[in-house]
Order: sequence, then C-alpha cells, then structure tokens
Amino acid sequence: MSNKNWQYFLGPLSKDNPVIVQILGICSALAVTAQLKPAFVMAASVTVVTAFANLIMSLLRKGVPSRIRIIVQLVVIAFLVILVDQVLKAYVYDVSKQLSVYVGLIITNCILMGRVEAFALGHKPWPSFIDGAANGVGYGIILLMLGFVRELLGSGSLWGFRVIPEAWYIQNGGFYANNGLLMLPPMALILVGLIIWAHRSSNKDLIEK
Amino acid sequence: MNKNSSTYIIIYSVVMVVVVAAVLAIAAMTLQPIQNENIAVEKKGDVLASVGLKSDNIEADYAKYIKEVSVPTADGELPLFESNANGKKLYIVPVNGSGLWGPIWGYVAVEGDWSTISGVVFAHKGETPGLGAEIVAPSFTDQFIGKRLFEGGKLVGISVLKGAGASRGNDHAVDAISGGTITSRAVETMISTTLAQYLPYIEKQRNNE
Repeated sequence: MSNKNWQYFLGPLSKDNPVIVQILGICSALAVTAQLKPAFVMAASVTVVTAFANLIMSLLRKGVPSRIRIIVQLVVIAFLVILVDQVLKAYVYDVSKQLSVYVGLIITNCILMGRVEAFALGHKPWPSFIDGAANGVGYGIILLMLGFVRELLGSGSLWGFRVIPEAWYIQNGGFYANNGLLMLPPMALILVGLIIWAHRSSNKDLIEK
Repeated sequence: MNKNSSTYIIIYSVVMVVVVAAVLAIAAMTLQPIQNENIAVEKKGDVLASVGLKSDNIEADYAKYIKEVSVPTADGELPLFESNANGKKLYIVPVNGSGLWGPIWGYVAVEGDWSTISGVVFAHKGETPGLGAEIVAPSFTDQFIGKRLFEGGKLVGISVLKGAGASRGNDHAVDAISGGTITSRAVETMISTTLAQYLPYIEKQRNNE
C-alpha cells in the first residue's frame, strides 16, 4: 500500500473516527453493545458493507447519472445489507436474532452514505475500498470498547464466558453485584462521552476553539 | 451520451434493479435451506424449554424426550407434542396469535390433567423491545407455572390483569406487562383461542381419566 493509502486507512481509526469524532452511527453503537459478541458481529457486518459499498460505487462512479446518484447509493447499500443479513441468518442465527432490526438498519447508518457520497464518488476503487474498510474498523473499535466494558461490568462475562466468579455475587454470599445501568443504552452514551473526552485530551487539535 | 437524459436514467435504473434483484434472489434461495434448518432447531429448543429443559444438544434431547403426535379434528389435524422428561407426562400445545406489530407464538406445556400449566415459552416477530417484547422474559413466563386452564370442567384460559400483584392468589390469571397491554392481551387471546380448537380432544382425554 502506498503512503497515501495508509493515511486513508489510519485516519478513520483515530483522528477521523466516524463515531467519536464525526459522531455518526451512534444509534447502533448504543443499541448492540450490551454484549461483546453482537457488537463484534455488527462491527464486522458494517465493515464489509462500507468497504464493498465504497468499492462498488467507485467502480460505478463514471456511469451514475448524478440526478439519481443518492438512489443508486441506497440501492447498492441496501443490496449489501440484505446479503449480509441473509448470511448472518444462515450461519450465526442466534446473533442475528439478537441484532434483530439493527442489521437492517445498517442501511440508514450515516457512515455508509457519508463515505460513499464524500469519498467513493471522487476516488479510484482501491483507495475507496480502503477508506470504507477503515471507517468500518474505526466504528468497530468503538463498538468493541463499549461491548467490553458493558458486558464485563453489566453481566460479569466476556463473549458469553463468565469472568467474575459466581461466588463473588451477593446472592451467593459474596460482595459483588452487576451494574444494571450498563445494560441500558443511556450508559453506553455516557461511555461514548468518556471515550470522546479521553480521545480529545490526547489529540488537542480536535478541540474546537 | 448525456448521462442526465431521461432515457439514460430510466435504462440505468431498470438494469440496476434487475441485476440487484437477480443476485439477491439467488442468494436468498441458496441460503434458504440452512436458514430453515436454524428455524427448525430453534422451534425444537422452544418445545424443550416449555417443559423446563435447557438443552445444549437440542436435536438429541428432542429426539429423546419429545414425541410428535397429531390431534384429529373436524377440519384436519392439529399439532401436539408429548414429553416424558423427568418421568412426568406432559402435553405441549403450540399456540399462535397476533400481537401488536406482528405474529406471536409459543408453546404451553400442561400436565396430565390438561389443566395445570407446567411451563410456557413465548416468542414474537416484532413486538416493542422493553414493552411487548417482554412476553419472552422469564419474569412474565414464570408466572404461568402452576396456573390452571380449566375451572370446574370449563375452559377459562389465563387472563392478564393490570397492576403488579393483581393476579396473586388467582389460579387463572397472571400480571400483564405494563406498557405492553396489547401484547399481553394478545397472549391471553392466543391461549384461549388455540386451546378452544383442541377442546373436543381435551375433553375426551379428561373424561377418560
């Protein structure tokens, strides 16, 4: 990969992160991160869809009539999302049930339309693909961070495996209780806020004057 | 060629939609068998759960404990399951109904007297998360255990009552879900209408005892 492509890749991971800098895709970031596994599947699905939506739109960019380009983008994105949904239903049925409507709602995730409109229509296929994948990964990193904290403190497990020993719990005579607030979306928003705070403190140039 | 002419736009949209539809149709048909398999396994898991078996090996346990029988009626046959898990004979009636947004269904396991409920499982297609969707939660379904469907030889079903604790001491009622009134009522209707179809068979069984 050339230098420029590396920059396309690294930007969305931190300084141009879609979730914590551009504040896009918050809805699903709050909805599916109560546990690590659905968060991971969601992140992977979004990454696949952004990468290929960018690739396909970049390949089509010279032929798309500009008057209907938004419709074309929606068709391409919806096509990929339905494909992903079908694959999830076939191979990870339980996770697909947990994600329920949120897989379908990837279509409305602002990151997708944003990247296609702002990047893929003006760049060659390979850089577009990298940009899409990087934005998906940038989104995924935040989802995994949220999923990790929420599942660990909210359920005492990680990826479904028990981390905090049963014997510690109050009902078993211990001293510990799960924090139920972490299972609710508002706490995820607070966590996103904390991540943004930490991120901006270490990247002073992101702070608005 | 003028990319913004109406002819170009129409041809472009038609070709795009046909291609996308064709690919999606192929994908859906290829994955259909695997998806149906998942749904069948889930159904078996629900049947097992209604008799209180949480299984890791659904297929094997289902084959071991559950017998599929059918109930002849005036206009066809109705499905029924019998279970002999834990040395106790239970009948499992599949129930179907419509909730607020879409179908709801479930399995009601009754004891040999055809009246005492030993366990229920409910599922839904798209009830409101946190409200109507709570019909699947143990906090709702556990209430049904030990309730009676018959009163003095007459089918009365299970009513849902408003207010926490409203059903205390009532053998034929459970507490409704607050904020999920329509779905709760739908559960009530689902159980009574489905069981009404089985009534001739049930009465024959009860008289034979």
